[in-house]
Amino acid sequence: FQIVNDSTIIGGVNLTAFALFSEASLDSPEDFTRIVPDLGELSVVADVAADLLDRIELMFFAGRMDSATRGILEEYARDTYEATQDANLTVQVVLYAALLTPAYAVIGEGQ
Amino acid sequence: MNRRNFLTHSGIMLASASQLGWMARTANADAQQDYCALVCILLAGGADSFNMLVPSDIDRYDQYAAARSDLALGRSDLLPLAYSGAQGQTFGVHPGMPEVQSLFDSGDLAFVANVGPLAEPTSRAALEAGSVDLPLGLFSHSDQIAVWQTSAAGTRTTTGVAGRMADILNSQVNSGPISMNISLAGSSLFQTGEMVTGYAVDAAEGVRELAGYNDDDSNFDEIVDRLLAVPQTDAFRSTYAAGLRRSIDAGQALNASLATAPSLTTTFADTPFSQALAQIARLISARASIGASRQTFFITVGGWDHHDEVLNNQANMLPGISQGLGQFHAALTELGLLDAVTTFTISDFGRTLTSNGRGSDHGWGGNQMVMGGAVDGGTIFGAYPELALGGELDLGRGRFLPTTSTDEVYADLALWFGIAPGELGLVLPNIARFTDVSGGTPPLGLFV
Repeated sequence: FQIVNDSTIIGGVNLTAFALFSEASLDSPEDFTRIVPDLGELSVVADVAADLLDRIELMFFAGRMDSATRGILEEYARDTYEATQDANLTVQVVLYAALLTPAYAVIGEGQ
Repeated sequence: MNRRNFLTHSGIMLASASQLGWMARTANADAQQDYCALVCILLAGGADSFNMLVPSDIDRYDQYAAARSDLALGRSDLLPLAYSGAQGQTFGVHPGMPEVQSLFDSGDLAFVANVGPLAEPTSRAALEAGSVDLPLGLFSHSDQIAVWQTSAAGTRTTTGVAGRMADILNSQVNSGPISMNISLAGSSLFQTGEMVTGYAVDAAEGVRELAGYNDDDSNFDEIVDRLLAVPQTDAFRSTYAAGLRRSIDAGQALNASLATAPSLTTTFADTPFSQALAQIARLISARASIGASRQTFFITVGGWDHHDEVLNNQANMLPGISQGLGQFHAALTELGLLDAVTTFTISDFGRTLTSNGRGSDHGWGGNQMVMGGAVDGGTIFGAYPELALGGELDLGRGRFLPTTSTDEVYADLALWFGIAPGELGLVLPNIARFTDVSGGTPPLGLFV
C-alpha cells in the first residue's frame, strides 16, 4: 500500500510552496493558505549562505542534512541573494527547495 | 523565479521544446491504430446491486418483493429492459438509472449477474462441508475490495489484475514515460504490478505539476534536478527521490500531451464521478501523444455501505452513476472510440436480500455492469439467482453464493485487451480452476 503517489507527492510539495509564498492570501477559502510563516529569524542571515543553511539544517533537518544537499542549497542561496538582494525571497526559495529534498522528506542519518 | 510565478503556477504549463519533440515522435508512432482501454469503476462499500438489476416478471418480482420487504422497489417504478430470458424472465433497472436502461437497450451495456470472488468453483454443500477454498476475509470490506482488484481470492497479494496485465504488455504498448495504468483514485491495488505501477491523476484537478518548475526566469529547475539526483543510500529517500522525479517528468509530459488533445463538446455534470470520467475522456483523447495503445483507468466512487437508508441513498446516488456512464458513452462516441473502450463496475460484495430494518448488510455475489461498443450489450451474463430465501445459493439472509467468478469476468476483459491465452494464467492465477482458456475462448463471451 502506497500512501504517496504521483499526485499527492506533488500536492504535498506544492502545499509547502503555497504556504511559503502566500503572505497575501488571508482571504483565501483554503485553510492552509492562512498559514503565514514568520521567516524573520532566517531572513536576518540570508545574506550569508552558510549561516542561512546552518539555521535551516538545525530547524528542519535536526542538524543532519547530507553534505551534497547542503552544498547545492548553499549555492542556491548565494546565487539568489546576489541576484536579488532580497533576503525574504532568498529564504522563501531556498526553504522551498530544502523542503522538497529526500533528506527532508525522510529524516534520518546524514550522509 | 518570483512570488508571482509561484502564486500563479496552477499546474498547466506550456510544453517545453524538448517535450514537443517527444510528442511529435510518439504521435508519429501510430500508437492509436490499435488502441483499447479498460475503465474500472469501484463502487466502494458494497453496492446493493439486487436493487440495480431487478426481476420484473410477476413470479420472480414477487419473490424479490417478499425477500426484500421494506427494501423492495415498486414493480411499476422499475425501468424495463428490452430483454427476455429463455423462460420469459424480464428485468428492470433502478428508476434512477435511465441512461443505463437506454445503453442496455441500445446494445452498449450488459450486466453480469451474481458475480463475486471465488477461490475455486464452489457449491453450497461443499462450502458447508468445508471442503472448498474460500476467498480470504469474506464479507469484510477491505478484504473483498482487495480480492476484487487482485482476483486471487485465496491469497493476499500485492499485485492486481491490471498491474499484471501491464507487466506483460507495457513495454509493447506504451512508448511514453507515463504508465499505461492511470488511477484517478490514488494508488490502486488493481493497477499495481511487479514491474509496473499506476500513475495517479487527481480526479478533480487533473495532472499536477511542481510549483515553480519550468518557470523560465529562474534556475529552480536545475536546483531541483540536482537535489533529486543526490545519491541516496537510504531506501526510503531513494524511493521518494525517484517518485518525485517521475511525477515531475510525467506530469509535464502528460500536460503537454493534453494541451494538444482535441476539445470535447460532450458536457459532463459537475459531480466528482462525472468529472473523473471527463478526465479519463481527456486522457484517452491524448493517447497518441502519450504514446499508449493500451491503457487502464481506475475510479472509486465511495459511500455504498448502506446498512441504513438504502432506498433513499440509492435514489440519491444511482442517478449520478447512470448519468456519468451516459456522458462517458457520449464522449467516447464523439471520440470515435466507443468500440475501443470498455467500462465496468466492481464492488466489495453484494448485500443481503433481507432488510435489517432500514438497510442491508454485507453479502457476497452481486450484479455488475459492463459498457462499451464492443460489448455484447443488452445481455445479462451469468446466472441471475432465484431470489427466494433458503434457495440453493442463499447462505442466509439472502447472501448469495456467486455463480460467476471474478476470474471469468477478468478473463474476458483480459483476452479482449490483448493478453494471449497462454499468458492468462499470469494475469489470473486461478483461472484454470474455472475454465480452460488455452484455446482463447472467453468464458463468458462478453464481447461480440
